Amino acid sequence: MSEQSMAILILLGSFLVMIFLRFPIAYAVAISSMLTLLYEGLPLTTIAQQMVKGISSFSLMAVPFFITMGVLMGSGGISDKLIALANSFVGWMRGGLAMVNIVASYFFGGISGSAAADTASLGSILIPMMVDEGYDADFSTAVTITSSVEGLLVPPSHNMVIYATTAGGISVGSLFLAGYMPGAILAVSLMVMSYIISVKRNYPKGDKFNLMSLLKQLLTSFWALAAVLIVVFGVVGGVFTATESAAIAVIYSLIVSVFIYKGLDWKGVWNALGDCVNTLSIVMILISTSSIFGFMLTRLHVPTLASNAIIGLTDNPIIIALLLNVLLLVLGMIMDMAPIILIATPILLPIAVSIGLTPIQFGIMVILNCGIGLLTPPVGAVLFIGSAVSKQPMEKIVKATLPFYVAMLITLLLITFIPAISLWLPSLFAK
Amino acid sequence: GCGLTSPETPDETPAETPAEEPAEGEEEPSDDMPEVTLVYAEVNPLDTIVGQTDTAFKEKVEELSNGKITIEIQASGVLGSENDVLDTMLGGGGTIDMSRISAFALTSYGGEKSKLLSIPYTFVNREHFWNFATSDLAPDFLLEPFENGTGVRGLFYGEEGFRHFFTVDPVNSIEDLAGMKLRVSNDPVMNGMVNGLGASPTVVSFGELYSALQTGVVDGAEQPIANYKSNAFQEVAPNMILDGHTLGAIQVIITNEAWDSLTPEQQDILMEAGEYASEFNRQISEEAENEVLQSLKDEGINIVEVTDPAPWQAAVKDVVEAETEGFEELYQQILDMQP
Amino acid sequence: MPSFFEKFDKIKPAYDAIYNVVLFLCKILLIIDILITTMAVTGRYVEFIPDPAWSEEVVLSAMSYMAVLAAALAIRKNSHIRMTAFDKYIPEKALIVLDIISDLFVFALAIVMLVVGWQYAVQIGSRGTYVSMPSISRFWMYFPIPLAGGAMILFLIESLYNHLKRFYVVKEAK
Ligand code: NA
Ligand code: NA
Repeated sequence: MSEQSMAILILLGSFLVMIFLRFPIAYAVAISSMLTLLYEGLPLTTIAQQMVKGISSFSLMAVPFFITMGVLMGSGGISDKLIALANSFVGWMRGGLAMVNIVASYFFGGISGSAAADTASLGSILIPMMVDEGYDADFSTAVTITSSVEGLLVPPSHNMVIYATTAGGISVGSLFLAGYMPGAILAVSLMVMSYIISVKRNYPKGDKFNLMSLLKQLLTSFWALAAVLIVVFGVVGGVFTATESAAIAVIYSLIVSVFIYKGLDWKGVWNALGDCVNTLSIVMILISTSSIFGFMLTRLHVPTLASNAIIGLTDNPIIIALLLNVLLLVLGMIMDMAPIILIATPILLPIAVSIGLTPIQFGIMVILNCGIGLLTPPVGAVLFIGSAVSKQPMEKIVKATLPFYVAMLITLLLITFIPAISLWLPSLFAK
Repeated sequence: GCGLTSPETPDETPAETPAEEPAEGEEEPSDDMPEVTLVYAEVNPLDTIVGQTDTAFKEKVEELSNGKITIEIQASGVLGSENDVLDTMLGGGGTIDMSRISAFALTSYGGEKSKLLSIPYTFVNREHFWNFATSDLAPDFLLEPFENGTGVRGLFYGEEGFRHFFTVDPVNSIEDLAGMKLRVSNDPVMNGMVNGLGASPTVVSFGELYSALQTGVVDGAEQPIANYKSNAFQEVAPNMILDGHTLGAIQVIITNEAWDSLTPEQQDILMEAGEYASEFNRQISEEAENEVLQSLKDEGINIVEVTDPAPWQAAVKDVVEAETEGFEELYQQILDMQP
Repeated sequence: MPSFFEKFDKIKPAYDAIYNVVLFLCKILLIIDILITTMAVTGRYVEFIPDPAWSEEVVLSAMSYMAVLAAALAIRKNSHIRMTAFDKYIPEKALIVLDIISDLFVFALAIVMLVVGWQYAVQIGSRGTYVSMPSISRFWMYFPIPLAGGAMILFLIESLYNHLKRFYVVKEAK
């Protein structure tokens, strides 16, 4: 066995062993990287360097900010108003709040462009909301994390920008347009799955739809709704970036909670910050240490080796297309999106093009595959955030997400084999 | 139809690259040269000007050493941003041996000399820069991080073209820039320059820049022409003014540890390949940039030339004075290399 | 229960105090981050509010400090994400042994973070500064790692002690 394969074996093997021995995942990724560095005879400074690098991404700041916003909204009374409003809209339908969750991610997640930020923001409001209304916490979390992937497909999306740059010569604008329909199809398939589960588990169904009560709720929840509108219009209107909107949303929720709804006094705010820190204590370190693990995988050329392994296996285009998906899914399970896009695109795109996929359609496939990877163990940032926000154990969420993985895979197959889903909208705007 | 087709099977041409016969008079590398692999970080993709320069360097090194030295390029920023890579190299991690960086990235690591290369409106044209890069001053500049104990040394210089402003709304003169929110990197030189031009420097991370231009969070930004195109910024900011405020000077660095682990013969090979790659960069850089510029014009992008640099130079006089303080003589020497 | 445990249980109030101080710092760092980001946005539109070039680097560093300090708190609360799916099939004593093994490995990591992280921070600190703030050493960007190592060691000692105690109590109950 070559030294490189041995190093990969140590990295992945020791990591899996530690997971089964119940090590905290945040530290297991770091310890397996440490063992690999020791095997390679390299100094351990990489650990310090990569841990800081892992947190030092400004876009990532949306996560702590949105979690803070969610906690303040929850304890300050804003969430209650939003529940009442949502119920008067969709309460008549079984699983209505799950639908709200999925639709909200299409718009809100679309704006933040980050599945992590979407889960942090909507999750910390909607999961407690759904639990209060009688949904199971694991189901609520599963709906939240899977629908957050819509945000990667619906523009703007920084990951699409990264793909376009890496693929070379692709219009970011066209790729953005290409994302709307796949995002919608993903939403619909998640809604269908939620509906089936809601009926099976007999989730709540409220009063009949009543226009008067809806209008009344709209009025009383004005300030709560404005929080959402400020973020959406602030970003779309170019007042601030998506990341910055998260900080503004915190300040806004603070003002509304303390001065308008008066659900919180300053002492309450201070205590609520403690809840935020508790959630962040789980999430941020995972993001930080996962970066060491990702660096090791990159340094050992794991994505390249895996990609090269599928080249030349077959010349059946359908099987090649499926293999591309499997490869991206497997990489997504252990690595973060951006490095996969950066490393795998130059290798896989020529294969994709050789079987007749256009770079744009393949880009959508890459984004969805990596998005699914964010929701899977053993390394999945969005899964971890969902677990931290809902305080549910990871494996319970994974179990509840199983039917949704199926819905996502169906969407993936549709996108792989029906080019029009991705290409129709951009073709309308092509000159 | 699923839209998929069978892959074209290219003619199987075995990679037939016989080891080139060494030219007469050139020395064959000694047989007992130890084998070594150097990990080389690049933040841009390989098909960019800088990426092609890296590849030229790699191929030359491997050719001159008969494959005994391998340069393993990890491109597209997979090993991190420029500062991440520098921190890894300077912290003695041993995981990255070499990298291609922008020359003034060393400024925040105590590079007083390399900072002079980032002073706005210093180089009037490419030839001016190449006069510097091939002068007796250049080796002094390249060795600065070694001499001040930073732990790396520069091997050679190159460039990725002048950096220009591009904006959402058309800009025809300095006056049009007034009051605009321009995204620049957060170092004091760039911020001082934007302030001098009457605009306001705005902090936006590079990853959010496309969206920030699209929604109007910022009115413009600045990049070399090739990066402007490769990041598709022309889709959201279709106006570029060719003010050429700084030349994107690049350099290739190697850690002291890696350098000291090489035999003198291997060190010579790196230097020789560096000279070759530097010359290669000089040749392709201008050509590639003109090509990109032409394709942008064909796309209908509004490209404005700057005919008189004097008002631009005057506008940034204060920041130039402040940032060259203590190095006036050296800076003047660079200015005097103007062709 | 041996007097050993009774004696050492008295240290709990001290740990409570440390926990509260660290939690206080985390909250302050989070507030600083939110305020600086808000200031930078407002500063673009309001003349008298600054929009400094250092905002991004300061926000990121403050978040690094918060993340590592909070992670140490999570050790005390035992809230880090781990796979507990098979816990119900494992005898309690075996679980305690597994907890001790994992704590010992994390302890080793913490020592590496403290020692290697310190050396790294000092070395990089002597060579570089923040890009936007040439007067501030890069040491402060990497100091969170040794700090985290120290905080982890502190709380791991208590955690290991509690596992041992639990192990003893389980044995006694038998
Ligand atoms: Na999006
Ligand atoms: Na959602």
